[in-house]
Amino acid sequence: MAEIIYMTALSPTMTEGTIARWKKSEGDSFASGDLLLEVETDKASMDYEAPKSASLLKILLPAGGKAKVGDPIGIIGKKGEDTAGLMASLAEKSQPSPVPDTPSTQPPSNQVIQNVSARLDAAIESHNAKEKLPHDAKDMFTPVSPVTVPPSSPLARKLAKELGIDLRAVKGSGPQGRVVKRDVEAFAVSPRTQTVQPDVLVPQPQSAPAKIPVSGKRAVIARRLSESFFTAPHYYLKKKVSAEKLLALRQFSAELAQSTEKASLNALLMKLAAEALKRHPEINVHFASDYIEQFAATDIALAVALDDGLITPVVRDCADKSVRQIDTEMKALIEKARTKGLAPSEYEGGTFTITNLGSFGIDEFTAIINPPGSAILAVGAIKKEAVPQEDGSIGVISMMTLTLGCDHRSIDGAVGARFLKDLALFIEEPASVLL
Amino acid sequence: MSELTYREALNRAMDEEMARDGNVFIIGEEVGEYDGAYKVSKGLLAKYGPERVRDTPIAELGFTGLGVGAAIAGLRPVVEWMTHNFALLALDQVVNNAAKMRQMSGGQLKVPVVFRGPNGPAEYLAAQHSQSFAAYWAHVPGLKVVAPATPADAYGLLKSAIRDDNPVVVLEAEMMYSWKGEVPDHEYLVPIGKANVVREGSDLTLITFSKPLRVTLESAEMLAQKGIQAEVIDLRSIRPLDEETLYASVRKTGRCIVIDEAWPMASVGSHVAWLISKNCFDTLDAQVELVSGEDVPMPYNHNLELLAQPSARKIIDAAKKVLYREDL
Repeated sequence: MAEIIYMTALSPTMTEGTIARWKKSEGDSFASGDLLLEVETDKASMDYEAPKSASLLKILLPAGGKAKVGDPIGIIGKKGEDTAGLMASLAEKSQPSPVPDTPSTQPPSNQVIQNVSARLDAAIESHNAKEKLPHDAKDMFTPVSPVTVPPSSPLARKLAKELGIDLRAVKGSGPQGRVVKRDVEAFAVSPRTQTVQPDVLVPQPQSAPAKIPVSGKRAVIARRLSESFFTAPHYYLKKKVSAEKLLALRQFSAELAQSTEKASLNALLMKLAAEALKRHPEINVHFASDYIEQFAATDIALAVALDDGLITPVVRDCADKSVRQIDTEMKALIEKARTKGLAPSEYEGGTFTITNLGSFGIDEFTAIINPPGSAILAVGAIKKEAVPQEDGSIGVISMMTLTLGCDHRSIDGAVGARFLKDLALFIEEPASVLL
Repeated sequence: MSELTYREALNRAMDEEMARDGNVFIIGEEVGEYDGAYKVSKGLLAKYGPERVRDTPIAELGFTGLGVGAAIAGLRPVVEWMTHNFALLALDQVVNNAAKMRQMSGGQLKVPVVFRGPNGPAEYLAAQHSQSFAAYWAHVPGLKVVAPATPADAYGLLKSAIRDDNPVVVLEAEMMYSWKGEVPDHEYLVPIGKANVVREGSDLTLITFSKPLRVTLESAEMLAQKGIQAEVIDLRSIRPLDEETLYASVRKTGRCIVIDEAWPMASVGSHVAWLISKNCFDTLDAQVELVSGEDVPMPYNHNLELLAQPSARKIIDAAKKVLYREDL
């Protein structure tokens, strides 16, 4: 039987995706698990695998088209099977064929105008319909984005199968998000026109606050940091250190390489932090409720601000790499993050994080721990300060403030303090790393 | 139609069967001179004489064995246990003789005996006398087990039990003896192995047997006031079990609560819940819930005694879970 395939959540946080390319053409056959198309998600390009062995009968959303999780993107079935029925049922559900989200210099065709007008009508209709529903029922219209099929009752599964509904697009209202009969029924009758946000179409008073849609990435940042901040009891240790020798070392790195390019301060800090972690493995941990995981690797993440939000590229095994190596890898990662976006393996799993707001002139700040690590080092700006010397004289010295944020569940204050003391020593006297 | 108490319905059934068949006789403690510990055999000694209404010593294993032997020899004894709590003493005769002889003799022997008496908690009877042993009997192949919950079924099922050529255990209840209900005036039999859809509904299925039928119907009424139509099924016969009636209902409603006043582990209720889970799997929209007696020896304190048993409130609480609704 021909069936519709939907945009599914290809990563835990994906809410919508753009079709990068179809790897099969209409009429092609494929086996279950074959690569069907590539989808660009919030952070990466993901493979969409065939859910079963069949033929691609119809592409509903061509390359470049954008679809929310739960929107139909194609029809699969037996080769040569008639798709008219399904197409009709899609049209019936006010589900116009989505328009590719690509800029065009040509005037819109009649087809596009018709689609847009149909979408407007459907959206207004759906908005009106929602107004009549009890408050909580409204939530059912928003598909969630589980990676796999959500828990569901046997009856819900049977019903979904009969109605040709992909359970991954249905939000469950039962315990632990279990999809039950009423959810499938509600989904079946819902207009499912999430491609157009009704709220945007309703005239708003001029003074109304702007509603900026939360991007997929923003949602991830929000979720992960809330999770960290509200589960890990944070505490902070602060230490002022002299950056004189660190700056000298940086200068020397250029001389050594016979170039004008100095190693970045962050790469130096990552190397020194990795060395300190090697000596304090109790900092390089993850609190996993019933046990504490101590990482063998020193995978250091660096918080990097991009236009669309924060990302934390990770350089693996920093303790085993030279500052140059770390620097080169980090620069490549940042470049990739700016252009193509990083794969999850390139920004996940940092065992320790460094965040540096020195370039903004921030003196010192506290940061939120970036899981799975248990500690984060916040680095302030290097500024010249008048510092009393041992001999009573006043020296003008480049100083910076380190603030170490720790998860108290896994790292006690004294343990964190010992680490920070050693790290401060390494920064003030980089040669001590060798001793 | 006449309104009879449950005990009167049982009495009428035995009276009619004794009149119909000279091989039917009653044996047990206090069944004759005292007219029955719960007056179920009232007037039968006067009517049929001591040959057919036999008082016995307080020796359950002995008189139950007499009943089994008499049945094998061709009579149709009705063995009255003062309560099923006391019948534990007679387990060997029931399980090893009554339930086995037909099969072990290759069908040469039959054991047309009825074992009957009150089962389950009553009031103020504490741990040793407030037990529901439905599962003890239902566990044994070779026995039939019935549990009439109304006077009409008590009459019709006891008559069927007496006429059955196999040993039949009848589960009555002390509290039910005085409960009244309509009983047709004409003679009829209620077939063993047929459940009764007591109340029709489309939203969830409540399955029970014996005394808890009353609280189950109460809960169905409370649910109806909230707009939920519960279908209530009285098993009536536990072995054999009318599975098809249960499945048809659950396949219609997609939700099921089983109510059994016995302890939850290895009970008739838990077995029925498993059957439903297995055989109605694809039509279930929620887990099958079991409202059982609490898993404790019955407390003597009356408040605790009531709390230890299924109640309409507990059934509503289970209904919340299977309906995914908090507002009930």
